[in-house]
Amino acid sequence: MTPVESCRTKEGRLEIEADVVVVGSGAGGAVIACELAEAGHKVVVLEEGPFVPALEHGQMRPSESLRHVWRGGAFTVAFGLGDTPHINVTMGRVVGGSSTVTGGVCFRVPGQVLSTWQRERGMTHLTESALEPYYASVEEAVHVETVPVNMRSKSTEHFVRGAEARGLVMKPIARNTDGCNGCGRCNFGCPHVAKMSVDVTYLPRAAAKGARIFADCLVERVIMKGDRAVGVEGRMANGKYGKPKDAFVVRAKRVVLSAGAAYTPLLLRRSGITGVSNQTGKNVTVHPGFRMIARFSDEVRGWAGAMQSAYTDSLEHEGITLMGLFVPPAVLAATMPGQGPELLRRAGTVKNLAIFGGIIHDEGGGRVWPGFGREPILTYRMAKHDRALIPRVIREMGEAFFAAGAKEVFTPILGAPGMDADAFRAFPFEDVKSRDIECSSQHPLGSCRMGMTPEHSVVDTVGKVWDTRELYVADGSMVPTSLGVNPQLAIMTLATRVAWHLRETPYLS
Amino acid sequence: MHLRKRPVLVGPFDVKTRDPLPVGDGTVRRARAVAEALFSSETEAPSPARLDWLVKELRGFVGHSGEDARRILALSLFAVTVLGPLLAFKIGFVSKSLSERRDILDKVEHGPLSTALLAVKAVLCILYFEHPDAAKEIGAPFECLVAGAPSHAHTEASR
Ligand SMILES: Cc1cc2nc3c(=O)[nH]c(=O)nc-3n(C[C@H](O)[C@H](O)[C@H](O)COP(=O)(O)OP(=O)(O)OC[C@H]3O[C@@H](n4cnc5c(N)ncnc54)[C@H](O)[C@@H]3O)c2cc1C
Ligand code: SF4
Repeated sequence: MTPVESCRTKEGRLEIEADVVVVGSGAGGAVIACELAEAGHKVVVLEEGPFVPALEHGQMRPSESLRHVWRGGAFTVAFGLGDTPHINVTMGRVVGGSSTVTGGVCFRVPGQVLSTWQRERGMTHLTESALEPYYASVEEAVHVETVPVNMRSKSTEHFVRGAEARGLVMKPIARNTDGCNGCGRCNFGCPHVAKMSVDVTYLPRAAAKGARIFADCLVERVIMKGDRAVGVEGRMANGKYGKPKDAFVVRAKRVVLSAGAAYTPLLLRRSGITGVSNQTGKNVTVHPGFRMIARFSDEVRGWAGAMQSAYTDSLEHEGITLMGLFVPPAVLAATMPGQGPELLRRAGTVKNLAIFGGIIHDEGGGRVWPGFGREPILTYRMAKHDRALIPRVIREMGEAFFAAGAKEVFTPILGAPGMDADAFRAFPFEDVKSRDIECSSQHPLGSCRMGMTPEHSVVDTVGKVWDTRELYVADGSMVPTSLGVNPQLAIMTLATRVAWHLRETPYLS
Repeated sequence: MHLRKRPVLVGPFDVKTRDPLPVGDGTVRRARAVAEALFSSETEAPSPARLDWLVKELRGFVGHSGEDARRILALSLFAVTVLGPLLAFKIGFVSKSLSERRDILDKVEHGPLSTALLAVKAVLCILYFEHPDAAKEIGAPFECLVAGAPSHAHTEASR
């Protein structure tokens, strides 16, 4: 058993020394902490969110998880600019970061994306074979396995049947699970500790090797001495209602920022590090996502079964990936149109509802701006080509459900009624205003993208912030383009690459 | 490998007992008025006991979700209950009858403030349908989606 310390109960100023300080304990930060602690470095991990022991997730209802484990109760928004929907961009804020609330889906960086990195970004050394040892290390650590067909929910089975009838090739998803019983509550923390998120894999390993993990600890600034990072400072959440109060300082030989794509650029900017490229906080991709709900005459009980178990990349050439998912009945009810008796009647049909999702392999256009207080402001301007894909995603998912026998679908058009097949086909999705489209994202990436030159990127390909010394980034912000698939495995793989580089790199004297 | 053979992180599990930030009475009053209409039958609002439960949960939810969530909910409620009625050529929301309130919400859902209503509806529905009786009305039990769900790991580790 290895302890996590909460700063909530500490008093007075805290000063610590370490070899490496890691800001953020999510997919990127946990890997760095573990790899470096196991290599003998003295590591301190600072996490803004609280600590929830793996065994206790089951003690929380979904709404309790949303308020304690997700950032901002999941009320985090990228404001759409121009012809773009507002996007609900969700993140975790807890020891383990967003890794704790994933559906467990794992993808390697798709071949065509790696080719783009090589061809268009000059990162010719990032080949599948060069990345193989890092993938292998991560896949073993988090136990990536394919979801067996018998664990699919009926919701997914329905969609798969319809999609296959339309000629789409449905494939099984790989997930980081061990002993999963398909109970379907992955997004609220796995109550069976079967999802191998970093809080039950990398972080315990790091702590077992002496890494200290501090929860409720908000980093506000990197301390720079000239161009060299020498630590971080911030405040502990030990004020009234957990507001930041007493200061802390961690002096370290090396600083690794892993605060996620929305927060790492903010930390760099607030520390006065903008780089020659001025790319910090720009180029954010999000994989804009859309859901389709379908009502069947039989009972679906879509919450029973692995939450995400099948996908198709048959439309990848267009920039679309369709992906299984399920959301809790209470959340499903929330997305139903109508009020009063009409809403209650629809909510009463949740056991008959199936759901599937589609994401767009986007060009980017997102930006992280410093906000007025602690939180950033996110904006997103959708590329024309991506915007044109929204009706395509909606039509494809709806048709697949109708091909499977759905009676009615509920589209992500705000206020639109349930539609039977005829109404669906006649609906002018192409003319719907962006602001009337419900859109969500779980994959903000790229705000401190890696690259070959300081003119076009924020960090180099081992995560070093250009024109600084001993300052690194290892999280979703370094991913240089949209992936078109869920990113946690890619992030952990790139973080492993950063870590293995760091463990061989002597500290500056 | 089973959990008990792995090293696990231990530490204080106190999030459920932490004090939430206070939520303004205006926000709560507006939210309750929306909830009454949202979850009403043709003629009746949900029972006061269920609404009291909802309001308590709402205070906890918003109070723990941070300043930004609090601001977004307050603004969304303002949009729905102050600007929303204007779309139905009415003024005021809280004092209106249930059917008038439902009419206003309907106008909002189909108008330029639909995103604000989505935010309000999302929080209220998520909380409302977690009430054990409301959950039953829409098809519970939901297996692991309730607090205190059985956990293999839990029993194993504590054996
Ligand atoms: C609901 C949901 C479902 C998802 N499902 C999947 C999936 O199935 N498959 C997949 O591949 N991906 C999934 N993702 C995405 C994946 O979880 C993220 O891409 C990944 O975890 C990002 O890693 P990261 O290290 O960049 O950031 P995070 O994992 O988000 O970690 C960043 C951490 O830094 C902390 N932090 C931020 N600022 C500070 C600060 N100033 N001081 C201290 N700490 C700070 C945050 O609180 C957070 O804990 C999902 C995400 C969500 C939200
Ligand atoms: S389906 Fe259930 S057991 Fe499996 S990983 Fe998700 S929460 Fe855990």
